[in-house]
Amino acid sequence: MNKNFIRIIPKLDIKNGNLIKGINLEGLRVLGDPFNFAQVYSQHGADEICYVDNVATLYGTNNLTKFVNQTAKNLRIPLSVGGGIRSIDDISMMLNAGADKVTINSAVTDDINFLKKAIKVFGSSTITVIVECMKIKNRYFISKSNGRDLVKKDPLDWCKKLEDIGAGELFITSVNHEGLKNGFDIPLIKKISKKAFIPIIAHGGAGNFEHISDVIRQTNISGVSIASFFHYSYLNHFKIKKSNMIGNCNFLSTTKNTNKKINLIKNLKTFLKKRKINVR
Amino acid sequence: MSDKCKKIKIKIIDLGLNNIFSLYHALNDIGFKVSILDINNNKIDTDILVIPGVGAFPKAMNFLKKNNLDKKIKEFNDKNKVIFGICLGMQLLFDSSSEFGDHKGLSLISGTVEKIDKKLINVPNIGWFPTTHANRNFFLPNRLNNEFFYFVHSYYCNPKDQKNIITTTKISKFNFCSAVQKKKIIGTQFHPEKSGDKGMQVLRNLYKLV
Repeated sequence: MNKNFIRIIPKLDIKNGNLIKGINLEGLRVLGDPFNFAQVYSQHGADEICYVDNVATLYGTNNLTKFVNQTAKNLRIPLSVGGGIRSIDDISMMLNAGADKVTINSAVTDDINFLKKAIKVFGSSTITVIVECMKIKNRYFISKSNGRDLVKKDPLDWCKKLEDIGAGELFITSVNHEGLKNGFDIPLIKKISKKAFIPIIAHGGAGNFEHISDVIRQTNISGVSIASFFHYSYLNHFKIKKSNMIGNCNFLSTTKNTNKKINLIKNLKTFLKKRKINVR
Repeated sequence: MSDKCKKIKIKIIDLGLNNIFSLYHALNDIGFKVSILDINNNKIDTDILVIPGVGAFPKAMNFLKKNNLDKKIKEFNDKNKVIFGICLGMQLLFDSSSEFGDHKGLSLISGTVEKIDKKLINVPNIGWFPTTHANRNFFLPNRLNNEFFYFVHSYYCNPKDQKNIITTTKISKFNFCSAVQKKKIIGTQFHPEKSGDKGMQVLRNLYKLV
């Protein structure tokens, strides 16, 4: 049984200033203003907020600073920021804008020395490495750029290497499970978390409270990152101004507003506590 | 909000290692007169001095020494002013740390800083953990007993004098000092500026020490 204190971490993917969400990291839909979501999540008991600029890696740009600044000014829980971070200057920029930690994937996958450098300058606890895992014909590989590029490395070996170098924590994304709300890839997360001496965060597949409880109880993770399951449940907490949005907004126009404002995060934590899981 | 806070000046030392943005805004929201310490001034002139920090102990100590701040902080302390250390800032208050060799600290509180044993918990230790009161204290009053605060650290403080321990935190078999006080010197291993409403209550209570 997992004795760790578990962090519940809403993950907000951002594109052109909007909160977006896709399935298997693809097919993105616009959901609203990330800042509003972050505020409500924090008030409802989220333990940390994770921002990721989804297209930054693809286009080599980084527009997140503005949102980080606005969010950090009002957020009283930790904020991690990632997407397109490629240099020591990029990290400095995010920390100065108000991020507490940065999350990195592609830049570390391309050049492990970058991780060494970053840790030397900022310390382990400021650097989270995202490990995207893809399952192809029963074999696991890692990937980068939100599942677009496959890298022929075994996730377990890779995680061990990242830990040895000094990564502060690992954020494990199961690409095959991401956005499907069918539950986590427990066998993979179990293997990785049982071997690790650093915090492991599981991401990809949360669709109900049981899924979240299962992945915690059966592994040795320190946190769960949740996107779709939270975002879709929280949509009706906000008034939507479609005029401000760029991108695929069809989904929002066709969604019925039920006006039922449920505190899902609080309910989730009550559920987990009943199952003897340590949460705040 | 308490009007008492409005008259109180707080200065934050920018060690250049991390994000002080959130701390600045948290203190500012409470109503304190907050500014970043100008390290070129001969004296530290403020009611409360905050030493924040995530980062490495030797690097932070070098920064303080290079700018003569170690002496200035001690002079400031001699005037019976309030010093508040957060996370690495708390660790700097002690005699020495074993981080990357053996390094001397500010020696404002006696004790050492040790590395967390990997066999006990995952390191770095990141997350929200409850703090239990060891000694009565108005900075962390009873209503904040066993509340959760946010921690991120690989080292912990081991105060020599048990009387200085305000709270302890127990994670599995690892039990450590999570807040310390000696007269007007206070330190928290957790980040109150990142610990939601409870953390804000802790920061607000700083006015009681002035």
